Amino acid sequence: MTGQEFDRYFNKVMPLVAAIAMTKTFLAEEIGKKAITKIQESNRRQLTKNEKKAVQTAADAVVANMNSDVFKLDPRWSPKSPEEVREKLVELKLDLEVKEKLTAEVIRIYKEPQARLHDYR
Amino acid sequence: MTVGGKIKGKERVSCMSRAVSMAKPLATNMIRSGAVHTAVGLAAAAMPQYAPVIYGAYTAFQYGWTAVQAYREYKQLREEMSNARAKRVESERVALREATELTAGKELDAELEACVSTRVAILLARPEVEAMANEALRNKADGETKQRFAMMMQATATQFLVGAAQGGRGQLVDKAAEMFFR
Repeated sequence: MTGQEFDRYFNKVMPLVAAIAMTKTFLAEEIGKKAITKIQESNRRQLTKNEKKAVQTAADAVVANMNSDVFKLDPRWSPKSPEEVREKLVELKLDLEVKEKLTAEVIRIYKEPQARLHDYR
Repeated sequence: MTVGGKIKGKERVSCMSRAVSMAKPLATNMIRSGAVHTAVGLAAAAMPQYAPVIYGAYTAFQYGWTAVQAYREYKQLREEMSNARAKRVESERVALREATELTAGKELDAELEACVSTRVAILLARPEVEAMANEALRNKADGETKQRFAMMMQATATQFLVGAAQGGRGQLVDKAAEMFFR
């Protein structure tokens, strides 16, 4: 890889990384809130501030490490109708089903013993 | 029927229909502006309520990197990526010569990931990058969101750069890889 090639790639990919990171930021917040609600419902009590923080940290970690392939796109693709856009959105996998899976993963991580260290502080 | 200012019943706008109506004007734009805008457009359409901020991030960072690139960290990142590629090619050559499988692959990947991750972290800690993030969020977000965004930037940038240097997965990364490995 030459310096020039790196420059071209970097300039192209970094704004895109910023946009994807921003999407992930809001997604993590959404997933964290969903997980907190589910845990509260199953525990039949409100979580403490520290517990909520631990759940949100788990959500951040899950979404941050989410495979970038969910943003897999064919660069030649150009939609001809809203229907095609709808299909692509489903392919993007940021649909309800994936959000549910992410939430389940956050709850699983939260229930791991090391994630509950805040209990002993 | 409206309840508390929100439309209820059949007239209710669903999340998906909002996303599609949001994506409609984007679709025209996508045809004109190609792959990068397509990706940003779709990311925004997947989370329509945050579309302006996602666009904001894209635009702020699109015009900001030239200033950041003047710094040493950027040059070092470039060097790390070149070195990693050179090492990979060399180890592939050795493997071919010995007619064995490339066994050093995993170790090299971990090493590359650590190098790139460190360089990306240093690069993203620059005040110019923080200024770009602030511009994107337009000071609407609290400290926690800013912190989360920084973490997501770090993780995503490392994924993309390491993916590109390794040959990549996913077509977007493949395209970048074509540029590197032709």
